[in-house]
Amino acid sequence: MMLMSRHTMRSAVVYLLTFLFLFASLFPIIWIIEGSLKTPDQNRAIPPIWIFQPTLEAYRGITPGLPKYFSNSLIISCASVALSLLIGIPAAYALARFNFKQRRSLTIWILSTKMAPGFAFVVPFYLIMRSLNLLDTLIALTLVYLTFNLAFVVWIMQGFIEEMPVELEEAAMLDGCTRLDVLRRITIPLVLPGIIVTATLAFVTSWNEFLFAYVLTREAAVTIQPMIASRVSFYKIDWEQMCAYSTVAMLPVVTLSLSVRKYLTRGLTLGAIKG
Amino acid sequence: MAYLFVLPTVITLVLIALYPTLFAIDASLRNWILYRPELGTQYIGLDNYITIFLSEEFWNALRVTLMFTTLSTGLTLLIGLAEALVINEIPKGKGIVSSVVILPLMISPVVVAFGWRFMYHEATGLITAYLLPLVGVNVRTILGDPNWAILGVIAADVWNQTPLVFLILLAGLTSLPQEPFEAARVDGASAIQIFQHLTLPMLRSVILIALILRTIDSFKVFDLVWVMTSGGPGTATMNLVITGYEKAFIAYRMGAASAYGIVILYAIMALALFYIKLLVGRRK
Repeated sequence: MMLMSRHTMRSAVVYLLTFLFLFASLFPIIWIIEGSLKTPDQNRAIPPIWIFQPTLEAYRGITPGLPKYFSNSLIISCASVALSLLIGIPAAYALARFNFKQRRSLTIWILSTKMAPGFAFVVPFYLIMRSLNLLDTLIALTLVYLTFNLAFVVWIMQGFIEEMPVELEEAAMLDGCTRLDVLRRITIPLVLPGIIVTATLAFVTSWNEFLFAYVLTREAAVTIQPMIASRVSFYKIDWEQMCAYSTVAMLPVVTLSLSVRKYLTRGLTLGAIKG
Repeated sequence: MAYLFVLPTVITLVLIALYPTLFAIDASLRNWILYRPELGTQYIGLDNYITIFLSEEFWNALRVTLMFTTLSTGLTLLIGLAEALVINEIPKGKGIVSSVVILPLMISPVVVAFGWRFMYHEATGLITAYLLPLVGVNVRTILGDPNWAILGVIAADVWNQTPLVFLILLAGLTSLPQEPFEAARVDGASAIQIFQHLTLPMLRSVILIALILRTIDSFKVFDLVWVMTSGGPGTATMNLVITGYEKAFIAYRMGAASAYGIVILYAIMALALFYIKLLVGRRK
């Protein structure tokens, strides 16, 4: 008779639990994607149908309206990420490399912007954008997301730059490079993986943002999240089309995060626990 | 030179973070009703704040917020800790498993809210019509029931946010020194003893950071609750942010809504300070 050793038991439990966590994390995502490929009858079946002939009917239904929302989301997210990197990286570099008096208070300030509740800002933003006639424009949302993203970029890039050895930069400066040259030619190429993961996370935040997008847009500048939200609130929900919209909304963020997965966990962790 | 590098950030933050804050404080002291422009926006002192603190709706919203925050933070911490401890044990493929397990965090609360509403559907939802009856629980209505609605929303939030705790705690676990654990095993300590006397105390500051982030995030949650229940049924899921939101964009009372915003802002600052004191105290 073979006795299972304590060690084998332990790893069996570990694998079983890991499988459970994987299943629980993935299941709702898969369920939404499946829902988008089913017919209304298949979606209403109890017990649920697991294997079925997929149909693209729901996607056909959403194609006419979708491009506007999708491109609004894409333009706003990309523009705010690009701007925040442009403004934020030099600041992160300065915070990481120079010793100046206000450094600490600046870091705390950036951090507090990160923690502040969006709602406290949505009312003033609405009133300010209203008086500037910027409601329902792509510019308004780009500016708002720039606030979130900038604080995040400075915060996280400071961590990445601090991890880089300073010697290379010093050598370059001895050779007559200016600080700006050093930043452009040495630091940025070296921290490129960090920049990519920062950009990815900032993109995901902007793409997923709802409160400001909901309040500051009406018609022309509506992005994908408020569009989905306003359809969920309808009395009668078209589940197949909603699943299709949701799948399309998940697609860019899931693809992006899986393609940078090597750095993603580090970026997320650094963003959360640095300092 | 240093100032030159930081200046664009400072200017941007002043323009789009500090100025709106001051604007909100100023607005919170005014009677500002958007659809009655003829009334103007005159100063009324602290009236908006007094009205808030004297209203039934504020105390209900505070109760809902605290319940949501406590349960959601507690559950994400427990599940995230379990997840980190288990996944830290697997010998191979830790990276790929982690990147799958964090996917829920990448998905927007709006889509999460929709997905859970889909599964909570009264007649055909996977959870209400299939899974719960399967285990003998017969609760068909979740989001429409005043007692169940908040728990239904919390479940969706926990699914969405647990990966954040998992990530933080996994990073904490990986950075722990190995020697004390080996020594304890040599001395014949049980797994539970090791967890209780070594792992948990050594993770204390990382757990505290996860606690801070989760408390603040769940205190200010809006999108998930709005799309799932809009605060209902009745006022069962009306938290502080949703109450403030309705003041602003349903009643169009900008003064009162700004006052709600400032109250929430100060509550979060107080929470953050309290935790930071705790964190610094522990480190000494």
